[in-house]
Amino acid sequence: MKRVIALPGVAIYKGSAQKVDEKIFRDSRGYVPTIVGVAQISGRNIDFIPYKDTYRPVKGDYVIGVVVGYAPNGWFIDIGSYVKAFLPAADVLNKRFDPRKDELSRYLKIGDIVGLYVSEVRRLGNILVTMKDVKKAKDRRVGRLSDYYMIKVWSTKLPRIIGKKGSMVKLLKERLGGDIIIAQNGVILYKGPYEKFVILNKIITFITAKTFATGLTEYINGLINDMLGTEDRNQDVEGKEGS
Amino acid sequence: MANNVLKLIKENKRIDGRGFLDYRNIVIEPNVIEKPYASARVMLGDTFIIVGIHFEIGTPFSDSPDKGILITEGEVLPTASFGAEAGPPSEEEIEISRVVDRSIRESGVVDLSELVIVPGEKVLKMFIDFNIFNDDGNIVDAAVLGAVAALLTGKMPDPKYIAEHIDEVDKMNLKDVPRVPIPVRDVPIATTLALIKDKFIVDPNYVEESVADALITITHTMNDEICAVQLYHGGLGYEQVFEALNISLNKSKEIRNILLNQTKAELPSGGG
Amino acid sequence: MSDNNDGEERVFVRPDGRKADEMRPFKIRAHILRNADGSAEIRLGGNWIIVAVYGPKEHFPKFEISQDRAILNCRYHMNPYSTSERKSPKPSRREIELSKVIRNALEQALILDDFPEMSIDVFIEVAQAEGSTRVASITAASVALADAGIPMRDMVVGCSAGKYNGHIILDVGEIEDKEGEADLPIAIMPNLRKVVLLQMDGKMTHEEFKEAFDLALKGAMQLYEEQLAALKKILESMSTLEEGVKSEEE
Repeated sequence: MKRVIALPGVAIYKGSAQKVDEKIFRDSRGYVPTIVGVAQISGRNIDFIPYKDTYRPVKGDYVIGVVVGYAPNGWFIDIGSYVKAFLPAADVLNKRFDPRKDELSRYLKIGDIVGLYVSEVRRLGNILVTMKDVKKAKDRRVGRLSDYYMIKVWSTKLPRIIGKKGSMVKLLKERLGGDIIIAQNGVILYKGPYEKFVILNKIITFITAKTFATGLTEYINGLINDMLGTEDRNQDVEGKEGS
Repeated sequence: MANNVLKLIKENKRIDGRGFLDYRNIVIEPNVIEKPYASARVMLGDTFIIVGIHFEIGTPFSDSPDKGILITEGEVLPTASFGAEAGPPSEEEIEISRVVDRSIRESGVVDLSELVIVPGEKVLKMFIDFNIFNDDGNIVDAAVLGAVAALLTGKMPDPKYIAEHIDEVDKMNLKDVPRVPIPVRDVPIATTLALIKDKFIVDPNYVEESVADALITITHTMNDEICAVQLYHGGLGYEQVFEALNISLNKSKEIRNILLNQTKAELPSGGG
Repeated sequence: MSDNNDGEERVFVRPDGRKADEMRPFKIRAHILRNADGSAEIRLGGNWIIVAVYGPKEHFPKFEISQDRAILNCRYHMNPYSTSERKSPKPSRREIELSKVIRNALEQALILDDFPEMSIDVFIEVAQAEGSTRVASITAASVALADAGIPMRDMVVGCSAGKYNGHIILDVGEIEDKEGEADLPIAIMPNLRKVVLLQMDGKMTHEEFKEAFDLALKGAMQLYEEQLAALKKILESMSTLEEGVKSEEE
């Protein structure tokens, strides 16, 4: 497996490849990245870790957003993508929304944090989100989420924050305690003591600054030691379960 | 309409039957307006432009005390096309004005030192204003033709006379000052090309401009020097740049003859 | 006329002492503003230009949007203290023309159909000007766009050449611009080998144009290497944890 710096316009692979990330296109020069990042070439497959990329929703994604406005029949939610998402009132109320009788702000107010699924992505116009469990999935929390601290990162950083087989996020949960929720749009929620949140924030900032480094998980473990002021924690942090 | 252009280009044809290197019919009429010192109307196909030249007395710029002042400005009138609007100049109008200005200024068509009345104090300011009444493409070539035609056939207030009567200058009515021919030293010609599917066509009309992959104007002096280049939009391969320069040089000679014929003017000495 | 390398250059001196084919010192840095989605700065001789990119983002007013691609807005602006005489903050006709010309050049490289109904803003601020600001600006703007993660077919890099005292020169400085015979700013997409900004102001024969054009291409390729170096630097700073911890970069 070869890691190659990818810069826009500079071909990183000639000949024909099989599985190619969508940020890389092919023309007379060969396979050319359109944005900055690191490409991983194994055999004829090209994977790509972008340096920066705004979150692009995919149907079925679990996202966490903030209510930013009211529409006649629903709410506008900021999920950190290029356009706002729209949550229809009928979806939340489970019945037809009657503006004469129902008041939107009774259910969700501007500023509320909500966990949602992406139900539809239109190329033009809004993104539709829903509180209905699109995937009967795991421990995803949908609906209003209260009393959480929020950290926002580029969604492309999530793989490093989650780690190989969830090793990084497992480490964070074990060492810091509390409740950590990670959503696919790059939002991380934490419920726990303020001091722990400060540490988590610093760790996340470090991880996002060092996206392309190797040996990150062990290093983070050491960082947490320093910050918690303790020394003899278990250094063996191979993740055994998924997260 | 746009689809027709693209389809025909593949067969080496243009929608109005012209060859790739053919200009439309050019009609240049000097002295069409009485009030200014010089004027001309140009019809380039259906593109219709009027140019007028006015003079005022002014103070020279501090960094060129021995030169007169040239100001060139043009406007696409709301009459020119469906989308044209009245109002402050759009960025296209500003760009066109500046390209026409550079084509005129850098060619030295008028030696600005011949517009000086009293060095460092009083000079003639020459305003070249052009308006597009109907826009069927290639405004720049038409505007430069009109401006040069007006300069070739126009007159200006005699700076020497003003210098001799400098004490009365504030009471002077410039219109009453005896006039001399505007001293024309060159005959610059702008040629605009459009690149459509890697083929160059000259003198694009409105539709051809709208589908062009690239649009470029190159202005040549009477001595075959390039005095202005502007790539308005699009991209050119490196070799295409030189292809455009060559086509433009050849066309400029042809169009210059048409201009001199229709204005009944002669090539200034030092040319050819 | 044009230069020959046979000793005639002895008497040709540029105002700052450079050789005819010598660039001024230059440096490009990416990611220098905290809030912008992308940013970069360039120093080229006395020029200091800072570019910020915001977007892609929702565009308002809605009646202006393009349904099949993003709108690119570009503003080239000189700060009042950037020149020896105060430059009014109001956009001059020159700034408006340069904004347009730079925008058209960048549009050739950006893949705008990925973002229908949105807009991308490029703000070019010239903090200090010393000749050839438009080509320096576009060079920095391309790096800022890459820093913002906006997809591009190729980088865009610019350089100027000109004619001064009869000699063809590379990288026109302020005095040469004012007093010289011609100025040829260009910008290219270096891997696609396309010219996306091309203007000439002054007088040149065809032969002089060719010589100047080739020289400008050489200068542009030097600046291109610097653009890539600036972007690589960011990736490198994200790849090493501390000294001694290696990364697998190639």
